[in-house]
Amino acid sequence: MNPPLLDIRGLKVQVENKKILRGLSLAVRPGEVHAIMGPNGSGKSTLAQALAGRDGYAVTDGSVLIDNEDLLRMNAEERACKGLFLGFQYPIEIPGVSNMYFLRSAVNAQRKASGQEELDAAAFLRQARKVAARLRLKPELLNRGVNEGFSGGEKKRNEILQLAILKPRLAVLDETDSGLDIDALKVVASGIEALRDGKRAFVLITHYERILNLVSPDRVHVLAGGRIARSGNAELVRELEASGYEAFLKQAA
Amino acid sequence: MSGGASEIFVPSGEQRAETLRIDHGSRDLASYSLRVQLEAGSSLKLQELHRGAGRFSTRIKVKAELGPDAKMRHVAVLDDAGEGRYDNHREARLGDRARLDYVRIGSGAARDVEVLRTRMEGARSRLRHQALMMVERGRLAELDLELAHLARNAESESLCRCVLGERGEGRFAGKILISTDGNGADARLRNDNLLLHESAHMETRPELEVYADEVQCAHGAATGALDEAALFYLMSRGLPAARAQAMLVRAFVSRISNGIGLEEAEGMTGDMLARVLNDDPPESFTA
Repeated sequence: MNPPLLDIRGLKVQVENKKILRGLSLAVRPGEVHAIMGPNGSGKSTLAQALAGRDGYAVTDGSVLIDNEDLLRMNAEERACKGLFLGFQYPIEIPGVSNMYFLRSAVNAQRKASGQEELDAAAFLRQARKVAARLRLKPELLNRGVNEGFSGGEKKRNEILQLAILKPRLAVLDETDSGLDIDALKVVASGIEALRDGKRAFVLITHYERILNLVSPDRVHVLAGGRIARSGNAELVRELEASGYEAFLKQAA
Repeated sequence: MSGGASEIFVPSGEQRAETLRIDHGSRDLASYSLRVQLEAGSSLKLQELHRGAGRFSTRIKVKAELGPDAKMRHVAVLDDAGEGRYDNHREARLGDRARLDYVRIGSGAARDVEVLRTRMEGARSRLRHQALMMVERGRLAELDLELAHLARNAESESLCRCVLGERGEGRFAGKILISTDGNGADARLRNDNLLLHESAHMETRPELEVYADEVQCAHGAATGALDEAALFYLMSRGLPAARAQAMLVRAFVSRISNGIGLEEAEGMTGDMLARVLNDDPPESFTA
Protein backbone atom coordinates (compact mmCIF):
# COMPACT_ATOMS: atom_id res chain seq x y z
CA MET A 1 0.00 0.00 0.00
CA ASN A 2 1.26 3.50 -0.85
CA PRO A 3 2.26 5.71 2.05
CA PRO A 4 -0.29 8.45 2.73
CA LEU A 5 -0.07 11.71 0.82
CA LEU A 6 -1.94 13.37 3.69
CA ASP A 7 -1.52 11.93 7.15
CA ILE A 8 -3.48 13.61 9.94
CA ARG A 9 -3.11 12.29 13.45
CA GLY A 10 -4.98 13.44 16.55
CA LEU A 11 -5.56 16.93 15.17
CA LYS A 12 -7.05 19.41 17.61
CA VAL A 13 -7.96 22.88 16.40
CA GLN A 14 -9.60 25.77 18.15
CA VAL A 15 -11.01 29.00 16.81
CA GLU A 16 -11.31 31.96 19.17
CA ASN A 17 -10.71 29.62 22.10
CA LYS A 18 -13.54 27.34 21.03
CA LYS A 19 -12.48 23.73 20.53
CA ILE A 20 -13.69 22.59 17.12
CA LEU A 21 -11.56 19.63 16.09
CA ARG A 22 -11.00 17.26 18.99
CA GLY A 23 -8.51 14.68 17.81
CA LEU A 24 -9.16 14.01 14.14
CA SER A 25 -7.16 11.36 12.31
CA LEU A 26 -7.27 10.70 8.59
CA ALA A 27 -4.92 9.17 6.04
CA VAL A 28 -5.39 9.91 2.33
CA ARG A 29 -3.26 8.02 -0.17
CA PRO A 30 -2.30 9.07 -3.68
CA GLY A 31 -5.07 8.38 -6.17
CA GLU A 32 -7.81 8.31 -3.55
CA VAL A 33 -10.95 10.40 -3.23
CA HIS A 34 -12.23 10.81 0.31
CA ALA A 35 -15.58 12.34 1.12
CA ILE A 36 -16.14 14.05 4.44
CA MET A 37 -19.74 14.48 5.45
CA GLY A 38 -21.32 15.58 8.64
CA PRO A 39 -23.84 17.87 10.27
CA ASN A 40 -23.47 21.64 10.38
CA GLY A 41 -20.91 22.76 12.93
CA SER A 42 -19.11 19.44 13.07
CA GLY A 43 -15.78 20.99 12.02
CA LYS A 44 -15.62 20.23 8.28
CA SER A 45 -14.72 23.74 7.16
CA THR A 46 -12.43 24.19 10.15
CA LEU A 47 -10.49 21.16 8.96
CA ALA A 48 -10.20 22.66 5.46
CA GLN A 49 -9.10 26.09 6.71
CA ALA A 50 -6.66 24.65 9.25
CA LEU A 51 -5.06 22.44 6.59
CA ALA A 52 -4.62 25.46 4.31
CA GLY A 53 -2.99 27.44 7.13
CA ARG A 54 -5.44 30.21 7.81
CA ASP A 55 -4.63 32.53 10.71
CA GLY A 56 -6.99 32.15 13.64
CA TYR A 57 -7.27 28.38 13.29
CA ALA A 58 -4.98 27.37 16.12
CA VAL A 59 -3.67 23.83 16.10
CA THR A 60 -3.32 22.84 19.74
CA ASP A 61 -2.32 19.23 19.28
CA GLY A 62 -1.70 16.53 16.70
CA SER A 63 0.29 16.34 13.50
CA VAL A 64 -0.31 16.71 9.78
CA LEU A 65 2.14 15.39 7.22
CA ILE A 66 1.97 16.00 3.48
CA ASP A 67 4.28 13.78 1.51
CA ASN A 68 5.91 12.98 4.83
CA GLU A 69 6.69 16.64 5.53
CA ASP A 70 5.30 18.61 8.44
CA LEU A 71 2.49 20.69 6.95
CA LEU A 72 1.90 22.59 10.16
CA ARG A 73 5.34 24.19 10.05
CA MET A 74 4.59 25.72 6.65
CA ASN A 75 2.82 29.01 6.03
CA ALA A 76 -0.15 29.20 3.66
CA GLU A 77 1.82 29.83 0.47
CA GLU A 78 4.33 27.09 1.26
CA ARG A 79 1.47 24.64 1.70
CA ALA A 80 0.12 25.63 -1.72
CA CYS A 81 3.55 25.26 -3.29
CA LYS A 82 3.83 21.85 -1.64
CA GLY A 83 0.74 20.81 -3.60
CA LEU A 84 -2.20 21.57 -1.31
CA PHE A 85 -5.21 23.32 -2.85
CA LEU A 86 -8.21 24.55 -0.90
CA GLY A 87 -11.41 25.00 -2.88
CA PHE A 88 -13.28 27.66 -0.94
CA GLN A 89 -16.85 27.26 0.19
CA TYR A 90 -17.30 30.98 -0.38
CA PRO A 91 -14.69 32.12 -2.92
CA ILE A 92 -13.53 35.66 -2.19
CA GLU A 93 -14.24 38.54 -4.56
CA ILE A 94 -11.19 40.70 -5.18
CA PRO A 95 -12.14 43.61 -7.45
CA GLY A 96 -9.16 45.22 -9.15
CA VAL A 97 -7.03 42.04 -9.30
CA SER A 98 -7.45 40.49 -12.73
CA ASN A 99 -8.47 36.86 -12.62
CA MET A 100 -5.87 35.89 -15.21
CA TYR A 101 -3.08 37.98 -13.73
CA PHE A 102 -3.73 36.43 -10.33
CA LEU A 103 -3.83 32.91 -11.64
CA ARG A 104 -0.72 33.28 -13.76
CA SER A 105 1.11 34.80 -10.79
CA ALA A 106 0.03 31.83 -8.68
CA VAL A 107 1.13 29.32 -11.31
CA ASN A 108 4.50 31.00 -11.63
CA ALA A 109 4.96 31.33 -7.86
CA GLN A 110 4.41 27.57 -7.58
CA ARG A 111 6.67 26.82 -10.55
CA LYS A 112 9.39 29.00 -9.10
CA ALA A 113 9.09 27.23 -5.73
CA SER A 114 9.65 23.89 -7.45
CA GLY A 115 12.56 25.16 -9.53
CA GLN A 116 10.68 25.29 -12.83
CA GLU A 117 10.81 28.12 -15.35
CA GLU A 118 7.97 30.60 -15.34
CA LEU A 119 5.20 30.08 -17.86
CA ASP A 120 5.02 32.77 -20.52
CA ALA A 121 1.82 34.74 -20.98
CA ALA A 122 0.88 33.19 -24.34
CA ALA A 123 1.27 29.59 -23.18
CA PHE A 124 -0.65 30.36 -20.02
CA LEU A 125 -3.50 32.05 -21.89
CA ARG A 126 -3.87 29.15 -24.30
CA GLN A 127 -4.17 26.76 -21.39
CA ALA A 128 -6.57 29.01 -19.46
CA ARG A 129 -8.88 29.49 -22.45
CA LYS A 130 -8.97 25.76 -23.09
CA VAL A 131 -9.81 24.85 -19.51
CA ALA A 132 -12.38 27.66 -19.23
CA ALA A 133 -14.13 26.38 -22.35
CA ARG A 134 -14.21 22.87 -20.92
CA LEU A 135 -15.73 24.21 -17.70
CA ARG A 136 -18.16 26.37 -19.68
CA LEU A 137 -16.85 29.47 -17.94
CA LYS A 138 -17.61 32.58 -20.00
CA PRO A 139 -14.38 33.94 -21.53
CA GLU A 140 -15.11 37.48 -20.31
CA LEU A 141 -14.92 36.24 -16.72
CA LEU A 142 -11.22 35.54 -17.22
CA ASN A 143 -10.60 39.25 -17.66
CA ARG A 144 -12.62 40.46 -14.71
CA GLY A 145 -11.42 40.97 -11.17
CA VAL A 146 -11.11 37.72 -9.22
CA ASN A 147 -14.69 36.44 -8.75
CA GLU A 148 -15.92 40.02 -9.19
CA GLY A 149 -19.63 39.97 -9.98
CA PHE A 150 -19.56 36.20 -10.58
CA SER A 151 -22.67 34.21 -9.79
CA GLY A 152 -22.38 31.51 -7.13
CA GLY A 153 -21.98 28.84 -9.79
CA GLU A 154 -19.39 30.85 -11.71
CA LYS A 155 -17.35 31.28 -8.54
CA LYS A 156 -17.30 27.51 -8.03
CA ARG A 157 -16.35 26.91 -11.66
CA ASN A 158 -13.58 29.45 -11.21
CA GLU A 159 -12.31 27.42 -8.27
CA ILE A 160 -12.22 24.36 -10.51
CA LEU A 161 -10.46 26.40 -13.21
CA GLN A 162 -7.77 27.24 -10.68
CA LEU A 163 -7.63 23.60 -9.62
CA ALA A 164 -7.26 22.43 -13.21
CA ILE A 165 -4.48 24.90 -13.97
CA LEU A 166 -2.57 24.62 -10.70
CA LYS A 167 -2.84 20.80 -10.74
CA PRO A 168 -2.25 20.29 -7.02
CA ARG A 169 -1.32 16.93 -5.56
CA LEU A 170 -3.97 17.23 -2.87
CA ALA A 171 -7.22 19.14 -3.30
CA VAL A 172 -9.47 19.83 -0.34
CA LEU A 173 -12.77 21.02 -1.77
CA ASP A 174 -15.00 22.63 0.81
CA GLU A 175 -18.61 22.30 -0.30
CA THR A 176 -17.69 23.06 -3.89
CA ASP A 177 -20.99 21.43 -4.86
CA SER A 178 -23.23 23.64 -2.74
CA GLY A 179 -25.40 26.11 -4.59
CA LEU A 180 -24.85 24.51 -7.98
CA ASP A 181 -27.59 23.56 -10.41
CA ILE A 182 -27.46 20.11 -12.01
CA ASP A 183 -25.58 21.25 -15.13
CA ALA A 184 -23.01 23.20 -13.12
CA LEU A 185 -22.58 20.27 -10.78
CA LYS A 186 -21.82 17.98 -13.73
CA VAL A 187 -19.28 20.45 -15.07
CA VAL A 188 -17.58 20.76 -11.69
CA ALA A 189 -17.61 16.98 -11.21
CA SER A 190 -16.14 16.38 -14.65
CA GLY A 191 -13.42 18.93 -13.83
CA ILE A 192 -12.51 16.90 -10.76
CA GLU A 193 -12.74 13.58 -12.60
CA ALA A 194 -10.43 14.89 -15.34
CA LEU A 195 -7.69 15.35 -12.76
CA ARG A 196 -8.07 11.97 -11.10
CA ASP A 197 -5.01 9.85 -11.56
CA GLY A 198 -2.90 7.60 -9.44
CA LYS A 199 -0.83 10.47 -8.01
CA ARG A 200 -3.36 13.09 -6.96
CA ALA A 201 -5.82 12.86 -4.10
CA PHE A 202 -9.04 14.67 -3.24
CA VAL A 203 -10.88 15.39 -0.04
CA LEU A 204 -14.45 16.39 -0.84
CA ILE A 205 -16.33 18.08 1.96
CA THR A 206 -20.00 17.92 1.18
CA HIS A 207 -23.50 17.73 2.56
CA TYR A 208 -25.01 15.98 -0.41
CA GLU A 209 -25.03 12.61 -2.09
CA ARG A 210 -25.45 14.04 -5.57
CA ILE A 211 -21.78 15.03 -6.18
CA LEU A 212 -20.71 11.63 -4.88
CA ASN A 213 -22.84 10.01 -7.56
CA LEU A 214 -20.68 11.82 -10.11
CA VAL A 215 -17.32 11.61 -8.35
CA SER A 216 -17.19 8.22 -6.78
CA PRO A 217 -15.34 8.27 -3.43
CA ASP A 218 -12.94 5.58 -2.27
CA ARG A 219 -13.69 6.34 1.38
CA VAL A 220 -16.46 8.20 3.13
CA HIS A 221 -16.09 9.67 6.62
CA VAL A 222 -18.64 11.13 8.98
CA LEU A 223 -17.32 14.04 11.01
CA ALA A 224 -19.22 14.71 14.22
CA GLY A 225 -18.15 16.56 17.33
CA GLY A 226 -14.74 17.33 15.86
CA ARG A 227 -13.74 13.72 15.20
CA ILE A 228 -14.21 11.12 12.52
CA ALA A 229 -17.16 9.23 13.94
CA ARG A 230 -17.38 6.59 11.25
CA SER A 231 -15.68 5.64 8.00
CA GLY A 232 -16.80 3.40 5.22
CA ASN A 233 -17.11 3.01 1.49
CA ALA A 234 -19.60 4.66 -0.88
CA GLU A 235 -22.40 2.62 0.70
CA LEU A 236 -22.16 4.83 3.77
CA VAL A 237 -23.40 7.79 1.73
CA ARG A 238 -26.69 6.03 0.99
CA GLU A 239 -26.99 4.99 4.61
CA LEU A 240 -26.57 8.61 5.71
CA GLU A 241 -29.14 9.81 3.18
CA ALA A 242 -31.59 7.38 4.72
CA SER A 243 -30.82 7.78 8.40
CA GLY A 244 -29.27 11.26 8.79
CA TYR A 245 -26.71 12.29 11.39
CA GLU A 246 -28.76 12.02 14.55
CA ALA A 247 -27.06 8.88 15.80
CA PHE A 248 -23.63 10.46 15.30
CA LEU A 249 -24.67 13.63 17.09
CA LYS A 250 -25.83 11.64 20.10
CA GLN A 251 -22.62 9.67 20.04
CA ALA A 252 -20.53 12.85 19.88
CA ALA A 253 -22.44 14.62 22.67
CA MET B 1 15.45 74.24 -9.55
CA SER B 2 15.26 77.20 -7.22
CA GLY B 3 12.22 78.80 -8.75
CA GLY B 4 10.10 78.72 -11.84
CA ALA B 5 6.86 79.78 -13.37
CA SER B 6 4.77 78.58 -16.27
CA GLU B 7 1.75 80.03 -17.95
CA ILE B 8 -0.61 78.22 -20.24
CA PHE B 9 -3.18 80.11 -22.18
CA VAL B 10 -5.59 78.33 -24.50
CA PRO B 11 -7.56 80.68 -26.74
CA SER B 12 -11.22 80.25 -27.35
CA GLY B 13 -12.14 77.07 -29.23
CA GLU B 14 -8.59 75.63 -29.33
CA GLN B 15 -7.40 72.28 -28.04
CA ARG B 16 -4.02 71.73 -26.53
CA ALA B 17 -1.93 69.14 -24.71
CA GLU B 18 0.97 70.17 -22.48
CA THR B 19 3.46 68.30 -20.34
CA LEU B 20 5.41 70.08 -17.63
CA ARG B 21 8.38 68.24 -16.17
CA ILE B 22 9.80 69.73 -13.03
CA ASP B 23 12.82 68.31 -11.23
CA HIS B 24 13.51 69.20 -7.62
CA GLY B 25 17.03 68.45 -6.55
CA SER B 26 18.21 71.47 -4.68
CA ARG B 27 18.59 71.87 -0.95
CA ASP B 28 17.27 75.41 -1.25
CA LEU B 29 13.75 76.49 -0.74
CA ALA B 30 12.24 76.68 -4.19
CA SER B 31 8.96 77.82 -5.58
CA TYR B 32 7.05 76.99 -8.68
CA SER B 33 3.95 78.67 -9.96
CA LEU B 34 1.63 77.74 -12.76
CA ARG B 35 -1.17 79.78 -14.17
CA VAL B 36 -3.63 78.21 -16.57
CA GLN B 37 -6.30 80.07 -18.43
CA LEU B 38 -8.78 78.42 -20.75
CA GLU B 39 -11.02 80.62 -22.79
CA ALA B 40 -14.56 79.68 -23.69
CA GLY B 41 -14.90 76.34 -25.46
CA SER B 42 -11.19 75.50 -25.32
CA SER B 43 -9.69 72.32 -23.96
CA LEU B 44 -6.44 71.28 -22.38
CA LYS B 45 -4.82 68.02 -21.42
CA LEU B 46 -2.13 68.83 -18.91
CA GLN B 47 0.48 66.58 -17.31
CA GLU B 48 2.35 68.17 -14.42
CA LEU B 49 5.15 65.87 -13.42
CA HIS B 50 7.34 66.59 -10.42
CA ARG B 51 10.32 64.47 -9.56
CA GLY B 52 12.26 64.92 -6.39
CA ALA B 53 15.54 63.79 -4.94
CA GLY B 54 17.46 64.92 -1.92
CA ARG B 55 16.29 67.33 0.73
CA PHE B 56 14.44 69.85 -1.38
CA SER B 57 11.54 71.95 -0.24
CA THR B 58 9.19 73.36 -2.82
CA ARG B 59 6.16 75.58 -2.75
CA ILE B 60 3.87 74.99 -5.66
CA LYS B 61 1.13 77.41 -6.53
CA VAL B 62 -1.33 76.63 -9.29
CA LYS B 63 -4.23 78.74 -10.46
CA ALA B 64 -6.59 77.60 -13.17
CA GLU B 65 -9.47 79.46 -14.71
CA LEU B 66 -11.84 77.71 -17.03
CA GLY B 67 -14.15 79.82 -19.13
CA PRO B 68 -17.61 78.75 -20.26
CA ASP B 69 -17.65 75.27 -21.87
CA ALA B 70 -13.91 74.87 -21.37
CA LYS B 71 -12.59 71.39 -20.58
CA MET B 72 -9.44 70.51 -18.76
CA ARG B 73 -7.94 67.18 -17.83
CA HIS B 74 -5.10 67.75 -15.42
CA VAL B 75 -2.92 65.04 -13.93
CA ALA B 76 -0.33 66.10 -11.38
CA VAL B 77 2.15 63.47 -10.24
CA LEU B 78 4.45 64.46 -7.40
CA ASP B 79 6.97 61.76 -6.77
CA ASP B 80 9.76 61.74 -4.28
CA ALA B 81 12.05 58.93 -3.30
CA GLY B 82 14.14 61.22 -1.10
CA GLU B 83 13.40 63.56 1.75
CA GLY B 84 11.60 66.30 -0.10
CA ARG B 85 8.78 68.55 0.97
CA TYR B 86 5.99 69.68 -1.27
CA ASP B 87 3.62 72.45 -0.25
CA ASN B 88 0.87 72.85 -2.82
CA HIS B 89 -1.75 75.52 -3.05
CA ARG B 90 -4.14 75.02 -5.90
CA GLU B 91 -7.15 76.97 -6.98
CA ALA B 92 -9.55 76.39 -9.82
CA ARG B 93 -12.47 78.48 -10.98
CA LEU B 94 -15.03 77.00 -13.33
CA GLY B 95 -17.34 79.01 -15.56
CA ASP B 96 -20.69 77.96 -16.99
CA ARG B 97 -20.67 74.33 -18.15
CA ALA B 98 -16.90 74.15 -17.70
CA ARG B 99 -15.49 70.74 -16.85
CA LEU B 100 -12.38 69.98 -14.84
CA ASP B 101 -10.96 66.50 -14.30
CA TYR B 102 -8.13 66.75 -11.82
CA VAL B 103 -6.08 63.74 -10.73
CA ARG B 104 -3.40 64.14 -8.10
CA ILE B 105 -0.91 61.36 -7.43
CA GLY B 106 1.70 61.51 -4.70
CA SER B 107 4.29 59.10 -3.41
CA GLY B 108 4.26 60.80 -0.03
CA ALA B 109 7.35 62.92 0.21
CA ALA B 110 8.73 63.50 3.67
CA ARG B 111 5.90 66.01 3.72
CA ASP B 112 3.36 66.40 0.92
CA VAL B 113 0.64 68.90 1.62
CA GLU B 114 -2.01 69.91 -0.86
CA VAL B 115 -4.56 72.61 -0.32
CA LEU B 116 -7.15 72.60 -3.08
CA ARG B 117 -9.88 75.15 -3.48
CA THR B 118 -12.27 74.75 -6.38
CA ARG B 119 -14.98 77.27 -7.09
CA MET B 120 -17.76 76.19 -9.37
CA GLU B 121 -18.92 79.68 -10.26
CA GLY B 122 -20.69 78.71 -13.46
CA ALA B 123 -24.03 76.98 -13.80
CA ARG B 124 -23.81 73.28 -14.79
CA SER B 125 -20.06 73.21 -14.25
CA ARG B 126 -18.56 69.83 -13.40
CA LEU B 127 -15.61 68.79 -11.31
CA ARG B 128 -14.16 65.33 -11.05
CA HIS B 129 -11.34 65.08 -8.55
CA GLN B 130 -9.27 62.07 -7.63
CA ALA B 131 -6.27 61.86 -5.36
CA LEU B 132 -4.01 58.95 -4.59
CA MET B 133 -1.39 59.32 -1.92
CA MET B 134 1.13 56.57 -1.26
CA VAL B 135 2.55 57.40 2.15
CA GLU B 136 5.69 55.44 2.59
CA ARG B 137 7.52 54.72 5.78
CA GLY B 138 7.55 57.62 8.24
CA ARG B 139 6.19 60.15 5.76
CA LEU B 140 3.31 62.59 5.83
CA ALA B 141 0.58 63.41 3.36
CA GLU B 142 -2.10 65.95 3.91
CA LEU B 143 -5.05 66.89 1.73
CA ASP B 144 -7.19 69.88 2.47
CA LEU B 145 -10.04 70.30 0.00
CA GLU B 146 -12.91 72.64 -0.42
CA LEU B 147 -15.26 72.05 -3.31
CA ALA B 148 -17.51 75.07 -3.53
CA HIS B 149 -20.76 74.98 -5.48
CA LEU B 150 -21.55 78.64 -6.10
CA ALA B 151 -23.97 78.37 -9.03
CA ARG B 152 -26.95 76.25 -10.01
CA ASN B 153 -26.80 72.61 -11.10
CA ALA B 154 -23.08 72.11 -10.63
CA GLU B 155 -21.74 68.59 -10.13
CA SER B 156 -18.70 67.46 -8.21
CA GLU B 157 -17.25 64.10 -7.39
CA SER B 158 -14.14 63.61 -5.31
CA LEU B 159 -12.41 60.37 -4.39
CA CYS B 160 -9.24 60.35 -2.30
CA ARG B 161 -7.42 57.17 -1.46
CA CYS B 162 -4.40 56.95 0.80
CA VAL B 163 -2.15 53.97 1.43
CA LEU B 164 -0.05 54.30 4.55
CA GLY B 165 2.96 52.17 5.40
CA GLU B 166 4.83 51.83 8.66
CA ARG B 167 4.67 55.10 10.66
CA GLY B 168 3.03 56.75 7.68
CA GLU B 169 0.85 59.65 8.63
CA GLY B 170 -2.09 61.01 6.67
CA ARG B 171 -4.59 63.77 7.14
CA PHE B 172 -7.65 64.45 5.09
CA ALA B 173 -10.00 67.38 5.47
CA GLY B 174 -12.56 67.59 2.71
CA LYS B 175 -15.46 69.96 2.58
CA ILE B 176 -18.33 70.31 0.17
CA LEU B 177 -19.64 73.83 0.38
CA ILE B 178 -22.93 74.67 -1.31
CA SER B 179 -23.85 78.31 -1.24
CA THR B 180 -27.37 79.76 -1.37
CA ASP B 181 -26.89 80.01 -5.17
CA GLY B 182 -26.00 76.33 -5.43
CA ASN B 183 -29.44 74.78 -5.84
CA GLY B 184 -29.50 71.66 -7.98
CA ALA B 185 -26.01 70.65 -6.80
CA ASP B 186 -24.96 67.03 -7.02
CA ALA B 187 -21.89 66.58 -4.83
CA ARG B 188 -20.07 63.47 -3.69
CA LEU B 189 -16.96 63.24 -1.57
CA ARG B 190 -15.25 60.09 -0.40
CA ASN B 191 -12.02 59.30 1.40
CA ASP B 192 -10.80 55.69 1.73
CA ASN B 193 -7.62 54.78 3.53
CA LEU B 194 -5.63 51.61 3.74
CA LEU B 195 -3.30 51.10 6.69
CA LEU B 196 -0.56 48.59 5.97
CA HIS B 197 0.95 48.71 9.42
CA GLU B 198 -0.41 49.14 12.92
CA SER B 199 1.84 52.17 13.43
CA ALA B 200 0.30 54.02 10.45
CA HIS B 201 -2.04 56.81 11.37
CA MET B 202 -4.83 58.55 9.49
CA GLU B 203 -7.08 61.41 10.46
CA THR B 204 -10.03 62.05 8.21
CA ARG B 205 -12.68 64.72 8.32
CA PRO B 206 -15.22 64.84 5.50
CA GLU B 207 -17.65 67.73 5.90
CA LEU B 208 -20.74 69.22 4.34
CA GLU B 209 -21.70 72.87 4.57
CA VAL B 210 -24.94 73.44 2.73
CA TYR B 211 -26.90 76.68 2.43
CA ALA B 212 -29.16 75.73 -0.50
CA ASP B 213 -32.37 73.71 -0.27
CA GLU B 214 -32.42 71.50 -3.37
CA VAL B 215 -29.20 69.54 -3.34
CA GLN B 216 -27.96 65.98 -3.46
CA CYS B 217 -24.90 65.34 -1.35
CA ALA B 218 -23.01 62.35 -0.11
CA HIS B 219 -19.84 62.20 1.87
CA GLY B 220 -18.05 59.44 3.67
CA ALA B 221 -14.77 58.00 4.81
CA ALA B 222 -13.42 54.59 5.70
CA THR B 223 -10.10 53.51 7.12
CA GLY B 224 -8.99 49.94 7.56
CA ALA B 225 -6.36 47.28 7.05
CA LEU B 226 -6.06 44.85 4.15
CA ASP B 227 -8.87 42.32 3.91
CA GLU B 228 -7.47 39.30 5.73
CA ALA B 229 -9.76 36.90 3.84
CA ALA B 230 -8.61 38.21 0.47
CA LEU B 231 -4.97 38.03 1.55
CA PHE B 232 -5.41 34.42 2.64
CA TYR B 233 -7.19 33.56 -0.61
CA LEU B 234 -4.23 34.80 -2.65
CA MET B 235 -1.67 33.14 -0.39
CA SER B 236 -3.59 29.87 -0.47
CA ARG B 237 -2.76 29.73 -4.17
CA GLY B 238 0.96 30.02 -3.53
CA LEU B 239 1.57 33.74 -3.66
CA PRO B 240 4.08 34.98 -1.09
CA ALA B 241 2.62 37.34 1.51
CA ALA B 242 4.41 40.44 0.16
CA ARG B 243 3.23 39.73 -3.38
CA ALA B 244 -0.33 39.11 -2.24
CA GLN B 245 -0.27 42.35 -0.27
CA ALA B 246 1.07 44.28 -3.26
CA MET B 247 -1.72 42.86 -5.42
CA LEU B 248 -4.37 43.98 -2.96
CA VAL B 249 -2.85 47.44 -2.67
CA ARG B 250 -2.82 47.73 -6.46
CA ALA B 251 -6.47 46.69 -6.45
CA PHE B 252 -7.26 49.38 -3.88
CA VAL B 253 -5.58 52.12 -5.89
CA SER B 254 -6.64 50.85 -9.32
CA ARG B 255 -9.79 52.93 -9.51
CA ILE B 256 -7.54 55.96 -9.66
CA SER B 257 -4.29 54.63 -11.13
CA ASN B 258 -5.99 52.79 -14.02
CA GLY B 259 -7.91 55.82 -15.16
CA ILE B 260 -5.15 58.39 -15.60
CA GLY B 261 -5.33 58.25 -19.37
CA LEU B 262 -2.26 60.41 -20.06
CA GLU B 263 0.71 58.30 -21.02
CA GLU B 264 3.68 59.88 -19.28
CA ALA B 265 1.76 60.49 -16.05
CA GLU B 266 0.54 56.91 -16.18
CA GLY B 267 4.08 55.58 -16.69
CA MET B 268 5.42 57.68 -13.83
CA THR B 269 2.62 56.48 -11.56
CA GLY B 270 3.32 52.87 -12.54
CA ASP B 271 7.03 53.29 -11.74
CA MET B 272 6.19 54.92 -8.45
CA LEU B 273 3.83 52.12 -7.44
CA ALA B 274 6.41 49.50 -8.42
CA ARG B 275 8.99 51.25 -6.25
CA VAL B 276 6.72 51.76 -3.26
CA LEU B 277 5.26 48.23 -3.42
CA ASN B 278 8.55 46.64 -4.46
CA ASP B 279 6.59 44.71 -7.05
CA ASP B 280 6.58 44.51 -10.81
CA PRO B 281 3.60 46.15 -12.49
CA PRO B 282 0.97 43.65 -13.59
CA GLU B 283 1.01 42.63 -17.21
CA SER B 284 -1.95 43.78 -19.13
CA PHE B 285 -3.30 40.90 -21.16
CA THR B 286 -6.73 39.73 -22.02
CA ALA B 287 -7.90 36.21 -22.48
